Amino acid sequence: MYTNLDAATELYLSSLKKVNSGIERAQREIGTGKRVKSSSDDPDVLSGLMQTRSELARLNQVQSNMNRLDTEVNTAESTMQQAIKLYDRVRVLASEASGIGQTADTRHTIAGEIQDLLERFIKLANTESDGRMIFSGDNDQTNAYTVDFTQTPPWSAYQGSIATRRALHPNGTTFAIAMPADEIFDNADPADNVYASVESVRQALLVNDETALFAAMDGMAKVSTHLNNVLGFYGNAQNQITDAKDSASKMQVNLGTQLSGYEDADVTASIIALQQLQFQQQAALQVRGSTPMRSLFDYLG
Amino acid sequence: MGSLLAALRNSADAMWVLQQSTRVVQNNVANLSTPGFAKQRELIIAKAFDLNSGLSGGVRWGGVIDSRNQYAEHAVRQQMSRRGAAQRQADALAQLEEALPIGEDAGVAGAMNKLFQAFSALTVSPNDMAVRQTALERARSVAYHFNVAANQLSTNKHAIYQDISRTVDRINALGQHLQEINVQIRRDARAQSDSGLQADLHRTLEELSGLTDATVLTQEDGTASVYLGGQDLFVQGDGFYPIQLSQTPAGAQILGLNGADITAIITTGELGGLMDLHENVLPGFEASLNQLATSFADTINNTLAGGLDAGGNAPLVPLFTYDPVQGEARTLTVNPLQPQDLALASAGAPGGNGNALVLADLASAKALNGFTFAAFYGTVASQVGSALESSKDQADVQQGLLTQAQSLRDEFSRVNLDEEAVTLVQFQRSYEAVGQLIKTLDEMTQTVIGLLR
Repeated sequence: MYTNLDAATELYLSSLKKVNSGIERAQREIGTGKRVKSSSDDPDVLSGLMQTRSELARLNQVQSNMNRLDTEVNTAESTMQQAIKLYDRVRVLASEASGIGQTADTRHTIAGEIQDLLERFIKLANTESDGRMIFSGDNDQTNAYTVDFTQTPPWSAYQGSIATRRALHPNGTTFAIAMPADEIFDNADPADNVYASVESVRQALLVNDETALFAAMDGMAKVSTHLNNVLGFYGNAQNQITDAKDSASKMQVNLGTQLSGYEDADVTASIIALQQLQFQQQAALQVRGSTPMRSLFDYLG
Repeated sequence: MGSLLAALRNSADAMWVLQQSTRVVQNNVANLSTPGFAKQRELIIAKAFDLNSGLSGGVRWGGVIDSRNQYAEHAVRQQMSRRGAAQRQADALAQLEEALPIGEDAGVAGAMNKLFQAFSALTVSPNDMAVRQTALERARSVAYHFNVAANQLSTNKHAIYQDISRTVDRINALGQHLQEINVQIRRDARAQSDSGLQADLHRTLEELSGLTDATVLTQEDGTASVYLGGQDLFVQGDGFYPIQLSQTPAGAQILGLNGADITAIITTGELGGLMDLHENVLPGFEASLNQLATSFADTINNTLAGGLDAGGNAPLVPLFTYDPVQGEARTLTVNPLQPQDLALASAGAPGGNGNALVLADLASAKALNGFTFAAFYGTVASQVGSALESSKDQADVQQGLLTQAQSLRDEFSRVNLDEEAVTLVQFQRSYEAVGQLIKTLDEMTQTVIGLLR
């Protein structure tokens, strides 16, 4: 823009403007603690700054995910603990029922208790956590099984699906966190089939068939091992979740440091700069104000 | 007696010359702050003095001499032009920073981060309709922020175009004024030494130089010929050839003499700075933003296309859509999908989270020229910041150079009050001396007349 000012005044005003601009920036850095607030503050760091923020946002969500999965896996692990206890009870009852002195009536009574245990087993398969049926595989809005003791077998066909869901580790890898109910309780391998094992004991007791009872008892150790293996799976999942949370925390700390390096102001330096600039400003204004505006004309008589 | 009368006559002439000289000083002092004014100096010429030949000497008025230095003027105009371009760009680019914010959770980058967070949350509960709905809303937020950024760039571009139009009008107004000055100069040869007219001429040329790349040639008759970009005739004598601004599908154009496209030769001045912003710099930013929008939308769409929705079906409708003709970032929208339409399961594993894992992983994927989406956005914002920083630095440098050129020019032609005061005192003393001489000559003349009675 065209002005009427002389060159010296233009230079003075231009310098004063720079000083004022520096004061504004120093005050902003002190007030906000941030060095980079707009793109021209330090263009060279923007790509890294945006990327670091994106990474932090990702890790924050991963942490949140791990907390939710922690709840789910803990629930599953706790359920498996219960399942193991239930099966141990079935084994104890089967052993009792096989003893000398048991009659058809006593065995019938024990069969009733085993029926209750079987019903509880089937309900365990429908355990829910955070709005999801955790043993129904990917079909997590549906109960895995229904029970009806008028039917043979008393449990329905598996209504869930395979469990393909995996959890995302902060390092980008994934790990399995779920097993479907059919694999846990209604395994295709009869030697690992919990429901079939319990039902075979129940049926043997109902008809007072000692041979069938002893045959059912022979396979129970393997089923127990299977249940412990499933517990081990969820224990491993818990460990992986803990590891993921630890990794995420460490990465968050590192990224937080990196982010601070990009955008945080050195407040001490900003304060010193502000003091220097304010001194400069005052000096410039004072000198200009004191500059004599007289000429020879003022002294002519 | 005759010599006494000649001496009286010469003294009277000298007093008149000194009066004229005083008027020159008065004019200089009065025009101390007049833009474009160059101090003048009187030319006092001694007349021939040879008593044997009867030449009685004395002084005569030789007119005024303009102290203007054409080289210094040219240097100032050149720096004005360069400073004008840099300063104008710095002013316009400062407005652009708001279009691409870099604050936490702000703008396009913040929206993209939130969308990826939603995808990540869906890896835990891919069949939770509330979480799916959140993902859809965040996708809409991404589209919205792209639209806002693109519209702000577009608004800025339009504002710059308006500035270009006003600048062209101002240039033409100055050209017309130059033509009027040329007409005055041609009409009256004395106008060449008219300090006021010359001040007006040079002020106009200087203002014109700040606005555009103007080459000035002073003709023999004292008129100024102006060529834009050193080539296109703008003003010559009493001829004025205004420039025009034209908007074509290819972009804005400056048309000169006979409608010739002179855009490429207007490189400095405010007009050159604005045209560069409008035709090169802003389209570059727009292209980068469009590239980001396109890549982001296509990558998400392609990933979703490879999965299964909540019903176990391949999706029929993409999540994002845009119009390449109108601009990808400006027209980016989310199709009216329902939460169950999001394809978060992998093919062959309906109900799972396979595709959600892939979507979440896109936050870290270097999917665009070796950058992640967030980092690429950072490079686009960095382009704006760098351009602004560079233009501010350039404006500072050019201001310094302009001040130097102005200082050099001031040394030649700026009125100095102390100098004028000294000159005035000198003329005052001379006037008093001549007055005293006339008084003495008068007494001598009276004495001679007294002798003759």
